Amino acid sequence: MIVKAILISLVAAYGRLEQGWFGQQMIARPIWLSTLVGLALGDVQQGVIIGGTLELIWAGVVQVGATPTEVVTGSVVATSLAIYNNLTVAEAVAIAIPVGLLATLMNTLNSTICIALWSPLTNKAVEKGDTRAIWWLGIAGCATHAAMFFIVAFFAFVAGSAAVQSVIDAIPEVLRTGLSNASRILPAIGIAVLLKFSFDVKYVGFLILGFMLPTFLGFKSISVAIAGLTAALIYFYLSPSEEEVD
Amino acid sequence: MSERIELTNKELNSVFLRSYQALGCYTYDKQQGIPYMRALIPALEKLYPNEEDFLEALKRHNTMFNTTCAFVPFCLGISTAMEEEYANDETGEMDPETIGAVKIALMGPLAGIGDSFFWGTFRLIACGVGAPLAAEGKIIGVILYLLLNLIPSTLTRWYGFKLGYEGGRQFLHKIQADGTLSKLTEASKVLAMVVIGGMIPLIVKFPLSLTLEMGGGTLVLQDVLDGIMPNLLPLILSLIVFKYVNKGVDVNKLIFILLGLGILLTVIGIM
Repeated sequence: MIVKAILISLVAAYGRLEQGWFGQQMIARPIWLSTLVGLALGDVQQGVIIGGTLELIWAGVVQVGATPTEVVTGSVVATSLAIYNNLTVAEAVAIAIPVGLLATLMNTLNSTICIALWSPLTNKAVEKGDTRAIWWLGIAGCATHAAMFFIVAFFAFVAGSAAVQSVIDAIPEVLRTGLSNASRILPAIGIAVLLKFSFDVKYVGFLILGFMLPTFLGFKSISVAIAGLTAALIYFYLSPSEEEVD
Repeated sequence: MSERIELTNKELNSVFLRSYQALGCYTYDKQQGIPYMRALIPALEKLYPNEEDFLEALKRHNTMFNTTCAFVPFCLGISTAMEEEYANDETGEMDPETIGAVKIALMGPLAGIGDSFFWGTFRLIACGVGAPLAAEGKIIGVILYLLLNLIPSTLTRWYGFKLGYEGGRQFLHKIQADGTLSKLTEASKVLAMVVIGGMIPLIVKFPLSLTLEMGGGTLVLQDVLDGIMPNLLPLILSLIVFKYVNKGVDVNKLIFILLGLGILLTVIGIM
């Protein structure tokens, strides 16, 4: 059982690495991950069938009640439960719901590690020009995330779904909301750093314009960019060139 | 006149391969910024043999970036071409800020287009074709699903990178020759400013949950603030953080202050 638990947990970790290290090519999905789980448990055929079914469930084509919120761990654990314990797909999906919830909590935990650890360390490495450290830091966030997914899948497979739920209940609600609220104000730092590089008081009107478009007119990022392009074209064609000024 | 430093396939291939780790370290402050900088390093090391210039280039790219993964190579191609031009620019005409401005200008529209193609279109077609076959137990369904996602993604990445790099080079040569470089630099900053201004309400969220009981009625603090101006707090916060970043306060300190602020405001029930 332990060997099988390790193998399916490796599939869960791979699912996360596909997004972070292998270009997020949209294949960290039930149809592919469940096939790999089937391979790990020695029943590829069953893995393919469950993978196809789960893919349709997540796409909303097939309804089975609630589905786990996190697709990688949710599908890996649901598939392994279905194959290992001979459950129907609908039963396995229902059991995997707390697993998806725990994985979502891991997303928050890992994002906290990324902002509190990897980002500050990167800033230090940039100051020193330590390219070796940057090489590692640039892939570190996904590595810690994949390790967490490994643990979640392993724990769920070995200890069962009830144990997963008790872990979730043990995490204080206020910490969860606190971290998620912090995540919503932290992008202000990214904006401030961008502004530091490009701020010039003569362009301040364009900054205000950009702020107003989503605030008062409901623009989204693509329409803001088109408005920006328009402003840039007006500026380009109507401002006098250097020769004309001289 | 010093020798022109040309990038070879060796550096270009390294940049391209590193584009695959675009989500290797997603952070709230820089999003894909750290992996983007990491991907450019092979090119920057070759272009700036002088330690000081290299550090400056590194700092220039230690900023926020975010777009659909399949379009990251295209953006990297353009950044690489621009860095190559800047490193070899002897007239002093090219402003390094343009390199960042172009990055900022590209990421929003490309994310909009890319997400609808790769999340919305190719993935759904692949799912529609592959999943029913797989559900019947046919392994060809899985293979079709993989191919229908991997082929468009791989082609977009590879040709996007080539187009970004070679197209970027030709464009830069052209505008340098016809003298519109400095005006385009200014125009690109205008575009960047509009996009950054728009990011404030789009990515910074600062909703308050506090309500006060006042003489029989309840006062929702967020409604009061929205009455003054929507997105007032994201604007104020961004400007305060900018003020400190501009003063040279360590960004790492600001990260911990904001992290603590978010948790503190939640604990005392304001947020």
